[in-house]
Amino acid sequence: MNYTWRNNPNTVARLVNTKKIQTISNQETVLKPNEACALIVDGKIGDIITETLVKNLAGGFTRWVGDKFGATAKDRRLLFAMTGPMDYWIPFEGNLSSGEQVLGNANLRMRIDLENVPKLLNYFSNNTTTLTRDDVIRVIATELHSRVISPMISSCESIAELRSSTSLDKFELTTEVQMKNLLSNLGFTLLKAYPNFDKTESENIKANVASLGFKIQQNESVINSVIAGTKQKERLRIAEIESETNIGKAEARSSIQIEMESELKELRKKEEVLEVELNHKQRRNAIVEENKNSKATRAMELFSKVQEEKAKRIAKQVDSRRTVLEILTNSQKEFIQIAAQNGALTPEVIRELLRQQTAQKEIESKTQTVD
Amino acid sequence: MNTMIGLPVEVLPYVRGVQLVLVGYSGYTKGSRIKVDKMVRNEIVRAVGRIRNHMQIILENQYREGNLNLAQNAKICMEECDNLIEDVNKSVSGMQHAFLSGQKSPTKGELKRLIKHDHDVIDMVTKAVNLANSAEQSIALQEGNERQLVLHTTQLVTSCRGFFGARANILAGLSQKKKRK
Repeated sequence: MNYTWRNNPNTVARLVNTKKIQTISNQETVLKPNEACALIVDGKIGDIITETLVKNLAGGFTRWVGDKFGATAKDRRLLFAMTGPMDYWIPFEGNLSSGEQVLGNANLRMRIDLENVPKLLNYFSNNTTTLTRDDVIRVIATELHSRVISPMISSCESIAELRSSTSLDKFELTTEVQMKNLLSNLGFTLLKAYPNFDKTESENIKANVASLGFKIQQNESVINSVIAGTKQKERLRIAEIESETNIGKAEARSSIQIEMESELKELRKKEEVLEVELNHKQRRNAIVEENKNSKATRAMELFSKVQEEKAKRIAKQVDSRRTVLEILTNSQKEFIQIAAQNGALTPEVIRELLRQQTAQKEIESKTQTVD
Repeated sequence: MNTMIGLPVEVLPYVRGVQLVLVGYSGYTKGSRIKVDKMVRNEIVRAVGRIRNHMQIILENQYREGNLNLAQNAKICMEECDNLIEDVNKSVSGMQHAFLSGQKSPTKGELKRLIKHDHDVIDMVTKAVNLANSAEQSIALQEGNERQLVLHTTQLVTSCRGFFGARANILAGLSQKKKRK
C-alpha cells in the first residue's frame, strides 16, 4: 500500500511515528529526487535516503507480530522532508527614516540539504509533527524582521533608495549573514533573498496625481480636439458663407456691371455727341477768332509799315538836317578862316555870324515843330 | 577486484584515481550502475558543499568588515554552487530495469568515457575546493589575492557545471537499445 506523506504543496516536512500506522498491509512509498527521508530508530539517526522505493516502512501484519514479540525496534520515526528549493514569502512592515510606512514581502528561497534533514528535529521537538510553509514563515519572520528588514528600512530615506539595486544586494547579504544561525539550526540553506515592496502612500498619491494629470491631459486633448473640430466646422461654415456672399456679390456685381456698362455706353454716346458738338463749336470759334486775328494782324502790319515809313522819313530829315548843319558849320568854319586870313575877324563879323546862326536855328526849330 | 571484471584496462588508472577520493567506486560494473552513479553524484554534492561553506565564511567575514564587493563575489560563487548541486541532484542516472525498459548495456567505450568523466569532474571539484580553501586562507593570512581566488573558484565551479552536463549525454545514450536492421 502506498503511503503518502505529503498531500499539500505547503507541507515542507513531516515526522511520522510508524507505531501509529496500524494497517494490515505493509506501507511503502517512493521518494522522488526532491524528497528525502531520515530514519530515526530508537532515538538514533540512521540513514537518510532519497530517490528510492521505501518498502515496508510501517504497518503490516508481520511488523505487528514482530512488535508483539519485541523483535522490532521500540521506537521508529520517519522524518520526511522536501529537499528542493522552496519559496517563502514573509510579509513585513516598517517605517522609513522619514516616517513613511512601508509594506511588503520578503522572499526567501531555501532548500533543505540531504545531510541537514535530521536538523528538522529541532523544530519538531517543540512543535506539531507537520512543518508547513506557514510554520517556517512564523518561525523565521520575527528574526528576519528585527535583524534584517527593520534596520534596512529605517536606514533609508525614501522608497526609491530602498528599491535600489544596492539595497537589494545588501538585503541579500544581510539575510545570508544574519539569518545563518537560525536557518542552520533548522537545517535550511538560504539560496536567494529579496524584498518586494508594496506601493507606499506617497507613491499612491504620486500615482493618483500622475493618473489625474494624465486624465486631465486626456480630457484637455479631447476638449482641444472638440474645439479644433468646432473651429474647423466654423471655418468651413464661414468659408461657405463667404463663398455664398462672394457668389452673390459677384452676381450683383455682374448685373450692376452690365447696367453700368449699358449706362456707360449711353454716356459714351452722349459724350461722343457732345464732343462732336464741342469740336464743331471750337472749330467755328477758331475760325471766328482766326478772322479776328487776321484783321488785327493786318492792322498791325499796316501800323508797322507806317511806323517804318515814319522812321525812314525822320531819319531822312535828320540826315538832311545834319547835312545842312555840316554844311553850315563848314561854311562858318570857312568863313572864319577866310576872315582870319584876311584879318577881318572882328567882333562885328563874329556877332553877325552868331546872329545868322541863331536865325538859322530858329528856322530849323520852326520847321521841326511843323513836322 | 571481482567487481571490476569487464572494465577496459586503460580506465583502471582512472578508477584507482576515483577510488582515492571515493571508497567503494567500482566503475559501473554490472548491477552497480545506479549505486555508483549515486555515489559519484553524492561526492560531487559533498565537495561543492565544502566550496559553498568556504564561500559562506568569506561572505560573512567580508560583510562584517564592510568589504561588500568581495562578499558579493563570494555570494555569486555560492549561487553557482547551489546551481551545480541542483544540477547534480536532478540529473539523469540511467534506468534500473534494463531488460524491461529497453536500456542497452554500455559498451567499453561508453564505460571508459563515463569513468574518465567521473574522474575529471571529481578532480575539477577537488581543485575548486582547494582554491576555495586557499581563498579563505588568503584572507586569514592577509596574503595573496583573495578576490582572484574567489573568482577563480567561481570559474571552476561553473566549468564543473558545464562539464557535468556532458555526463547526461553519455547516460542518455544508454536509455535506448540500438535498433538492429
